Amino acid sequence: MEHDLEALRRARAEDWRKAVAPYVRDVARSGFPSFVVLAALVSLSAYTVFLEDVPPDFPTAAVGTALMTLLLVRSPLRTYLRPADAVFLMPREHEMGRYMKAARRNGYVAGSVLLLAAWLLYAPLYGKSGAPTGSAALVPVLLALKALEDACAWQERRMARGNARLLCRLLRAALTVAVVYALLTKPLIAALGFAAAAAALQAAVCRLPARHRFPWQRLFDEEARTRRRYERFFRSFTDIPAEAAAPARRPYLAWIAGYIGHSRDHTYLMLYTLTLVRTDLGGMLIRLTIVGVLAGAAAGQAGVLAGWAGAMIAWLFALAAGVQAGTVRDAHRHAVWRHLYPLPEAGRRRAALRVATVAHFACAVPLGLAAGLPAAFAGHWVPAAAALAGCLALVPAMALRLRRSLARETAED
Amino acid sequence: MEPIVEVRELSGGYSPRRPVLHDLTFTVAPGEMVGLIGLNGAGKSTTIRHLLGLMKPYRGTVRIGGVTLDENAERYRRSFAYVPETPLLFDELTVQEHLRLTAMAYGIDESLYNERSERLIGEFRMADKRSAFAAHLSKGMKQKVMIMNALLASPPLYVIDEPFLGLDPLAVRSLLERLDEEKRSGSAILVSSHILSTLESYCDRYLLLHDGRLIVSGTLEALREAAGMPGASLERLFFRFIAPERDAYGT
Repeated sequence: MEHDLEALRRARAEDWRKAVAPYVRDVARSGFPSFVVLAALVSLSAYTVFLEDVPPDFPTAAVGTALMTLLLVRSPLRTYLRPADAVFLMPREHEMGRYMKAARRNGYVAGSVLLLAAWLLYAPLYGKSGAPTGSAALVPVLLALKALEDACAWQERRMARGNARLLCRLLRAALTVAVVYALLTKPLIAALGFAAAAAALQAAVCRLPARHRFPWQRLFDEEARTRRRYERFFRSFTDIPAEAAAPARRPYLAWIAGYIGHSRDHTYLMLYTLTLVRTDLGGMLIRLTIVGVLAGAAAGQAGVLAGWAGAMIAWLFALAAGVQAGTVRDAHRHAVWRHLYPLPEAGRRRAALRVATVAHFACAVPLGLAAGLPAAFAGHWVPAAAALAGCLALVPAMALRLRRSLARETAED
Repeated sequence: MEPIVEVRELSGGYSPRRPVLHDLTFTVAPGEMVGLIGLNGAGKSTTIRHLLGLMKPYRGTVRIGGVTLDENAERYRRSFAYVPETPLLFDELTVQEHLRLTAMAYGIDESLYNERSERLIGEFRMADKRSAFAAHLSKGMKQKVMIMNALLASPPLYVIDEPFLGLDPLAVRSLLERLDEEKRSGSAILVSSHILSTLESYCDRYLLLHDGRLIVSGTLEALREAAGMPGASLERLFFRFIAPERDAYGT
């Protein structure tokens, strides 16, 4: 019986690979891999130049801590579980250990490979910082830390209350920051002692909240999220069937819809605004903007390529945000609702354009400022102005592109 | 009085080679509730889909509010509200936001919307769910939201498909009372359901579909007369017209 469950997971993984194979081919044909390789080579070249002359006040330990913490705290788990398993697999919960073993192993291996790759990139920078421990000596420590993080992440998944899970995760992230910083800046023995104390604290805290024996719902949600992430990625290159996403409340943005005037002409405006704010699309734009702001600000602060690296990062992220914001027009495109309610179709397209443009502008401004301001403070005025101007110029350019695309869609309809 | 729904010799379905509906002709007048009844697969949902304009007839016409969909799409769609058998809601909108969206779509001004939405939320006991996402509601609650949306629009015609599935008894009563009220204020209601005893108590007329054909229509009295069964219930009449052999067992 136990063997059956292992085989079931293998079969599901195989089914998944077969299902996405055509989309992977589409991605390969799109030229995206060439773009990624080119971007990696350019980045590597810029990094090599940067390594030759690292500014003495460069925050090497802080950068390493941020990078390693990000990769250590994140513990994705690919289970291939579906909601129907609540009926068919739940009676075999006591056997699920074998099913999950492969998922945990694969998650650990993939996470460790990524961690080692990042460490390999970071090690030359770390070596120049007068570090107390050799970079090779930290490899086994990082791998052990990754195993501990995965174990804690599993305990968090088991927690019955969302608040407890969030608090434990925040505590783990904070402790990880402290441990990694200690490993990078303090003698190894002292850092290991601190890491052991932090692990003991985290383990003790993890035991406090009420926990499920097996977190079915959590794993269903995670798997659905993972599938949607892949789906979103593949959808940028090809048409694929969509899975429904769980909405996020985001009250810090949803208030905007309350200020939309109560009139028939604004019906689609309200619908698209709430759709953008509450669905994966809004989440993606927020993440994209935050990452872009941090990356642009770090590059601008470090003065890489005389401030132009920050500007280029800002443009790239502003472009990506524009493309993503434009996809709001695909929401509800095939909903029965718009065929039943007495609304003119032209209003739908106008509203989609307006919402996408405003959202793009809201992302472009912080992206341009984050890259431009540090460059300006460092005296790189031209790239600073170019960062902001380029991001802002992308807004009308993308709006025009979207307007044309919507006009084509109207003509086709 | 001009009918709000006028269907003339309607033939339609998913493929012209195999039509589901054959020469349907019927009307629904303002201020009447008409029950659309028949077995599974009789063509009730296909009839409703044609009324909604989601399917195009191969032959015949459908007029709502005096116009066909091609003649005046906006007037056609403004004339009715639809409550589907399976709730169609936006997962990312709350109950209150659905009501606001409906009010905006039907051009209901804000003060009227506030008044009507508060009344409906109270009647259907959804006050503590007004900020809940549709994705987090039970099936019965989703159905309540659909019904509240329809009632909020207060259109000349309600097209309601299996409204009682998943509703608690209090909600069924609220719905029926409100439909009765709407009817008295002049709205027409076309309701499809298998709960014949409820339809018998509330409907003025019935359309009995079988294999895509309208085999009999009229008031309960007219149906009794056609079947030669004075005083028979709607359920007995249904069996008599659709499956006489089952009615024989029942008697």
